[in-house]
Amino acid sequence: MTEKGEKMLLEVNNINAGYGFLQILRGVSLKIEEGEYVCLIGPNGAGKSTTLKTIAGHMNPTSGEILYQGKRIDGFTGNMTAQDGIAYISEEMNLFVNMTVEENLLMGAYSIKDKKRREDNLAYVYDLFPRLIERRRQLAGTMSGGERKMLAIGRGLMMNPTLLLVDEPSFGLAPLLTENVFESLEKLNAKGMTILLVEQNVTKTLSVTDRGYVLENGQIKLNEKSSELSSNPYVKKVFLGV
Amino acid sequence: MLIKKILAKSTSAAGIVVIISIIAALYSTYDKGLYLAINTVVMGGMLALMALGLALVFGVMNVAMFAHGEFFMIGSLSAFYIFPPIHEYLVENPNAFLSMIAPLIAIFGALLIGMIVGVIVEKLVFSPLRKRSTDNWVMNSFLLTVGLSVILVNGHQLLFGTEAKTIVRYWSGRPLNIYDVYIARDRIITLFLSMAAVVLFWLFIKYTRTGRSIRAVSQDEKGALIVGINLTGIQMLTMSLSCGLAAFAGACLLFLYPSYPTVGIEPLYLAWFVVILAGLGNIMGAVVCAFIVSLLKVVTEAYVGSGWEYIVPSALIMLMLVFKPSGIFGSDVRGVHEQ
Repeated sequence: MTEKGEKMLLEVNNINAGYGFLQILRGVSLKIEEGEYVCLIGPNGAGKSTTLKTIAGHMNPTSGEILYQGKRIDGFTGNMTAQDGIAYISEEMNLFVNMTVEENLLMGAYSIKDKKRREDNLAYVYDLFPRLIERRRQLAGTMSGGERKMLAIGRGLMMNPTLLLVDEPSFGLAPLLTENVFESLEKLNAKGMTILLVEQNVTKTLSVTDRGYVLENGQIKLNEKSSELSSNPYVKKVFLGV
Repeated sequence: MLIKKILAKSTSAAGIVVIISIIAALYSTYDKGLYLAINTVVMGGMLALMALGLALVFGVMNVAMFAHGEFFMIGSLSAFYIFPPIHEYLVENPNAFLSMIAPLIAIFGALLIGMIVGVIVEKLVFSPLRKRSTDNWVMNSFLLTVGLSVILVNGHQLLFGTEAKTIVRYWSGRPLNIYDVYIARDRIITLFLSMAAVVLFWLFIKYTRTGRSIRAVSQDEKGALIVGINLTGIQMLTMSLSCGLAAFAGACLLFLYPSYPTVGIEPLYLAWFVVILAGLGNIMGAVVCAFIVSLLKVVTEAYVGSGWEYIVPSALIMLMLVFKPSGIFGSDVRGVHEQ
């Protein structure tokens, strides 16, 4: 694994994006280096999810550029970014509800043709989430919210991603399960995975991530180390209510 | 273990319906003769091919296809223009091998033409609509299929005329004698052809990588994109396969359904009966239900009288929609975030 901060992985320059006439992102720029654990926080409707969607190719920016490993990926569709190693874990998870847990995971490795590598990845994911082994023959649609979230993350990991985009992992989860999900993300980052996290739970997020961006009204307001952000008076006032 | 599984399945709604149908089929065959069973299976195989395509297009692309009968018509029309020239050539130069495979050339030619038409339709009609807007998609795409149907029917009428274009038979030779019942060779062979197509298709959907990605797209489009499936490619393939299957059915049954502009209406409505009975988008349930609907039609014709064969299935469909709108094979598992 490379040392943190050695190489730029993702560079978003001045992107604008929106739905129809409604503009959400107004000139958002961010940079993520390899191995970093970065979070994106902001009030509801600030455009956090839209930023992730745009990077993952599920929305196209109206202007601006996105560089990933030095290559322009704006205008790519969702499947193209996935094949380039960007795993996007959406808020609504988008699991295949009528397939079993194992089938879902194997679908995650869709772009990997080598059977041996697929099986290695499967073993890795089962190792990370032992809960999923117990449920491997169960239909994804019949699992609880926390298990589904784990499955969604596991499916994302099956493609051997270099960049993990996680949208609201704690959404709709009980506090204990949220803790579980955060732990597994930390484990992944410790193993060298680059993660961009969007999260409502600001206190928790700032305590685990390296660096944070604050997004407001579709614009980046702050960009500092997470520890500095949590003592920043503006963040304290707006998000932590102190 | 297996017996337990079968028992568990046989107490569900689908299991009961299937068991009742099998008993009805056996009794009516015993009562009225083997001919009834053969008719059911020939009709059922054809319907299964049609309904598979409908279920597939509905499941994967969310399109309520009402131009499916016209793909059936395109298939029978293609077979009509491919087969007779070969047949004429054979009359002058008899060749045993060629006369065996000439119908197959016509049928598979029709399949190929159907698949090409499917690609053209997807490129020309659905793909542009999807690019412009996916708001109100089900309604808009439905209206487009109706328009497509009108164009194809009238196109046939303008270019090829309204007369019934038919052939006498595909395979010459004496009818086969099975337990004192004479059955035309065409029926038996098309029966096997449609069965083979259904089985191959099922294996394709169940076990191949492409088949799995088709299923994935039908369950969650965005999820499919997330794992790296090329959505446009799958949509194109689905449309092409679905049209190909309908054309294949049309070509197989050219000896029963001569090709004329509106020949597709009957198979279209029957296939919709099947798909509603099975539960929208349920691909494998559609195959079983195709045989049930076909049995219903044949039995009604035999016992109640001809002319009633559409009234009974239609009444059943209406009852079905009132009491169990998800269909007999409608799955109970639904995701939280289903579109």
